Amino acid sequence: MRLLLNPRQIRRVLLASVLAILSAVALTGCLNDLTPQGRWSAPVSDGNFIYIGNLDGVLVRVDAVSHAFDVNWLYPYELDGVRKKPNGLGAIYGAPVVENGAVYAAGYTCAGSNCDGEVLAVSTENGEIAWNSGRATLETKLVGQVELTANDLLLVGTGALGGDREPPGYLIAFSSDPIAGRRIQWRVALDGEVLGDIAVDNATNTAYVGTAAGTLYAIDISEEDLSERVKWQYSADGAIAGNIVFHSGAIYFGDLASNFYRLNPRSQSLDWQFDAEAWVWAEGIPDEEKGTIYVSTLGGHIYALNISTGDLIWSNRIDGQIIGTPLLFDRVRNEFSQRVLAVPSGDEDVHVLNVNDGQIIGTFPTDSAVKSSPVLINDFIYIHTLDGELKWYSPSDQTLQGCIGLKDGGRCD
Amino acid sequence: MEFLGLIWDQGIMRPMINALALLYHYLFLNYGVSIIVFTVIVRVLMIPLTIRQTRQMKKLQALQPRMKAIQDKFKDKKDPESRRAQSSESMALYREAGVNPIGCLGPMVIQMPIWIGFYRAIIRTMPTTPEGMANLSASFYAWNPASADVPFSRLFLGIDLADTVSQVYLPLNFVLPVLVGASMFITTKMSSTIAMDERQQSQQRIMQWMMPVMIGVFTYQFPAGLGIYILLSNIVGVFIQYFVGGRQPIDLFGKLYLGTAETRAEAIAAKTALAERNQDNDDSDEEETTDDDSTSIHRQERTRGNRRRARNSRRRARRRRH
Repeated sequence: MRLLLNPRQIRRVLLASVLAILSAVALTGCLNDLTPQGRWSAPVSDGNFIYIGNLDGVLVRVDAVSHAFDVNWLYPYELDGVRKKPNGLGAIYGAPVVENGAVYAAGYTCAGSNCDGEVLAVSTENGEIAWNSGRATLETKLVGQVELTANDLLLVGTGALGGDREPPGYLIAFSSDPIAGRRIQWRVALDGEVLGDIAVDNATNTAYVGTAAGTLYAIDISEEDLSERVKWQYSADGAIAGNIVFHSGAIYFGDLASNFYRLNPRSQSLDWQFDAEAWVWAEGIPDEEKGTIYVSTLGGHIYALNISTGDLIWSNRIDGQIIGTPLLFDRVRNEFSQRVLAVPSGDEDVHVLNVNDGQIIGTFPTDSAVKSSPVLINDFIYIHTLDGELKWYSPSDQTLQGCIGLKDGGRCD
Repeated sequence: MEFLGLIWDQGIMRPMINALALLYHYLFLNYGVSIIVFTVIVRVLMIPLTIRQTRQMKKLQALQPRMKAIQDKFKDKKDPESRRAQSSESMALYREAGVNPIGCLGPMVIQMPIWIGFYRAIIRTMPTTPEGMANLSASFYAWNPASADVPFSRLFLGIDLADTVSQVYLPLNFVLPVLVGASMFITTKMSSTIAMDERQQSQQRIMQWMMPVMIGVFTYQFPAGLGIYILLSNIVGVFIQYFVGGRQPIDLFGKLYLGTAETRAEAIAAKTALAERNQDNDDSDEEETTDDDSTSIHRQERTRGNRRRARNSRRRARRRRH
């Protein structure tokens, strides 16, 4: 074999190769579809502060009254002298949980199939790790919200561990107790990765978790040392990506085959199934008073269904995907209270719908996509926008009351 | 820009995503198989473009000696008048032959969005993030039954198609980029014309090496599914080019592979003519050597090299004829 290149040409080819390598690195950086972005995390409050995962995968908090950004409380961080400098996890999708003087959350980042996740228990006092035995790291995806149980377990749904293909997902139970610290109590292998939130029925010590393989698992979370924790399972028509809801003795969830289901956990059977015309990601909102459940889809549909029969009461459609869970609240105007549904749009804005007929009667203008759930805290509706801002509005007239950038705490109103 | 984005999404991305998903649905829920079948379908559908491109290239190649003659005629004339005259003579030649000098780029330009769209479609149909999965829902047509199959199974021959090639098991993580580079090299070789002057030859040689090296390096960081697609696309492309181009032999490192007796003889004759032309140019270069010493030495070295290559080429051609 003879190379038909002279030294000068070889130099050019080498130079081109170096450029190619640099371009490849740049191109890989452009593959946004492969990098989790997060920003779906809804805010939560303990009354004094509002906690939220920001766009860098850092847990931050804002004073619930003054709305001042707490620069001394954030996690994870690295020390820049004595100042805390945010050092994010990558992506936080689930809302944090505040309990027992700690904020629990999970975040992760991935390079291809190599993922690094972290389950956090951070002290509300000082922003330091609340667990005595340090941080809990897992080489996996951690998308759904962590769930605390009555028996001090912290449940986390995951993808495959350590780059393995099988099993593709787990339900992992940590001890939430600060003294016992982040020990894995047990774990159950699942047939797919977990993308949504887990529902817990503390009365029967059962956790309900859905997988991307389309299986809903009922898992025994009792303290007993069990060899088999799966109580029963149900196969849906499509992947379960959204949250599972356990309400008044029934399980509600949607799938990516465009169905919404109600299951009876006692008989482990299907009560009813509704064709939602598009993928169901956001969780269903039961309205006990009206005997209705509100179901939304990635196609922008909102349905009000009879909670007992699954029959359609009304439907409407907004622009954009509905990923965040809509908020049901009572809007008070001129001493007149009206029950409404705040539906976040993946395009822009949060729309206010009349729950009687589904008509849009107002809008929280966000100027950005919203994929998190709106939350009512201390008489304000808080909305975490996809561009990394926390905005709060008057629930009565939807006017913007304030805005703060969650990266550095700068005001944006 | 928004309008272009709409055309891109609705005219290229959505049909491709839905076609890939449909193939997945009907071909054993195997994403690797659907990529392979889709690649073959796209390549076959583009055969008319390939034929057009090949014809244009052949015509251009046939014009090369006459183009060279025009270039030689105006070699030492740098004034604007002469440049204009050269340009108009060249254009007249192209018109006479019914060739658009950039016409052969047309099919390539049409193919580019298809390749880029396919690349994006593969990545988008194998989402690894929650937002990727949510975005995918907007790409499906309402009637597409495959939308209920998401997330698609990504395993093919033990490879996770969404993994980057660098993460695939040994030795495939190194073999795949090499195969992609090698197949790209053959494709580039097959689709290039014989350049008439030394400068063009040199540029062509660089391109023939640079592209495969670049693609090979890129492949190492591409999702494995895309790597498999590029490899397969190149292989199918080689077959199509071979038959569409009239079974021309493939010249690899001075040796001819495949081809019919007739096309091989033609190729040998063309190479011989080229070598002789180079020889003539070298001789005339030598006569014109009046530069300073260093330039003269450099040029002589180059001339000796060219002469040696031409001699070797003639010898090989003679041996083949015998």
